[in-house]
Amino acid sequence: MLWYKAWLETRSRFLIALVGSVALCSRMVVIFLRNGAPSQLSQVLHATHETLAAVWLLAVTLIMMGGLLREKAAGSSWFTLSLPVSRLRLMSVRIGMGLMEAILLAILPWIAMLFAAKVADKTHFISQASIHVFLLLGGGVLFLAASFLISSFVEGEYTAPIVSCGAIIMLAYLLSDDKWRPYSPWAFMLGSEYFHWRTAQFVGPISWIHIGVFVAIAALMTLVSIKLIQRRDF
Amino acid sequence: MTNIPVIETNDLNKSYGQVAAVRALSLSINPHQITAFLGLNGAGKSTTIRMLLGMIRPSSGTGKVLGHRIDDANESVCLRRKVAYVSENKQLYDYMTVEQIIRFTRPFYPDWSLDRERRLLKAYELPLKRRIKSLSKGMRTKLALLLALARKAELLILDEPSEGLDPIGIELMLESLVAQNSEGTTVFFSSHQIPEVERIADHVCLLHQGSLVLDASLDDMRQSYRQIDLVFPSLPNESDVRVAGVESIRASGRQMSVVVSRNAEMLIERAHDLHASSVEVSPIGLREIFLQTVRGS
Repeated sequence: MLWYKAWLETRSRFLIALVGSVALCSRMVVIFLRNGAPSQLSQVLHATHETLAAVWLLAVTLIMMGGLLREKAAGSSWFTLSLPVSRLRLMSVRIGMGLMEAILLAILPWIAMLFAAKVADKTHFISQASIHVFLLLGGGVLFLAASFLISSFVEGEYTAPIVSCGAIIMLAYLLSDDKWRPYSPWAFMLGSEYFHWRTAQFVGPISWIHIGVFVAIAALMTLVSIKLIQRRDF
Repeated sequence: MTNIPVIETNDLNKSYGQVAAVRALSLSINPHQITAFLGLNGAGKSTTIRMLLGMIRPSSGTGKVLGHRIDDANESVCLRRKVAYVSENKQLYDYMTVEQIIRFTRPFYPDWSLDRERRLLKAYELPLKRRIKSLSKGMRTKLALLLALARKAELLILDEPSEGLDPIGIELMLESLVAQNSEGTTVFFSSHQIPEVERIADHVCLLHQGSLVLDASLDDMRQSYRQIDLVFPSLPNESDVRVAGVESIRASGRQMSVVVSRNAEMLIERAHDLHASSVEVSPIGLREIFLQTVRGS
């Protein structure tokens, strides 16, 4: 039943984000194809993917807004904490639901984009789309964990998402420098390092080390969040 | 019928920085009773209750609820399966409807009774399809009570349960508590409403500034507590009248008002020795005991 609660809690934000990103991305594909610029479908989809990444980041930040601290601010944490479940389980379900929604928010707009292209009689390799989704999630996991961490120590109903957005913008700004770009999860999500614009193809092997580091940092942040909540008085 | 305490704390303390919210609290609550937990605002009642349920970690001391340690996260999960709780703040999930929150809560508790749920829904007239966000404060309180009372919990802990209820709602709630207690549930509730306490409680614990200042059965209190008003030609020192059992002394002019929990005869004798010109003994209600004890501490 905790999954049911997590779904009811996030479904409005998730559905709005899903409908928004599906509509925006498929519309962008249609407009690009109608204007004939960029000329190749892969370029069109890559350009749209950059917009999708920005929308995804915002959506995930909003979806991860929640949890016991937000419930404390709203006054309902007493009820959640009186249930016969551990705080670890409460948080695991929240992470699980956030992760599932984040994956769907990456996959479904891409399906919509491919469908929009198909309607315009253009076909695209599924493998190219899969790489985009994979990169989005590989880098995005760090932001997902960061939002979760922030919501585990910032109190207030709306303070956590505001702080999360601020932190993400700051991180993106700090890592925008060419020197730091190879380490930037945001650049990784966009896939710009691997996408060769002229040939409209992905080049070079994807850095598993990068993904490993992002996932490890995300896991560490999640662990810290769990410890923070487990030790906290409510 | 076992007499192992359902709630037992030893030297329990909780401090926030320099502020002590609960001090050296040693409580022992017997099973199958209705115990009222009284105290002024900020006395430490809610902090104590939250410590009992594992929501707040004690700074020091130990405690057990239904045999489970309150400072152990795993045991706390087990104890919450047996305890029904309603907080002072009756906020619930705004994004759910009444029906959804009942459906959500039901599977967590094997002791949930569908029959009770139906009865309470009817008695409280709760609109199943309405969102919690749009319920009035009273309705929300009734819903929180339903979620606790639809179970056959071993222990019911309620923090200011009547807050936000109208007189009919209070009456229904008190009837439900007595009915639950008659079926074997121990009830532990905090309240500011002395008439409610006098109506249903068997036992009273009074907390003042984080410390337990009174722990007695209501019957014993009715029988043994007395207010003795004394008038002297010249006011003696308080220490002259402080015999064993004196709970509080208030002096004004040549008059002295003393509340005793026992040894009233001894105090009267002492007052005569001190040449009291008037000695009046009167029984005392819980309200006066509460006020005198709090002022006297």
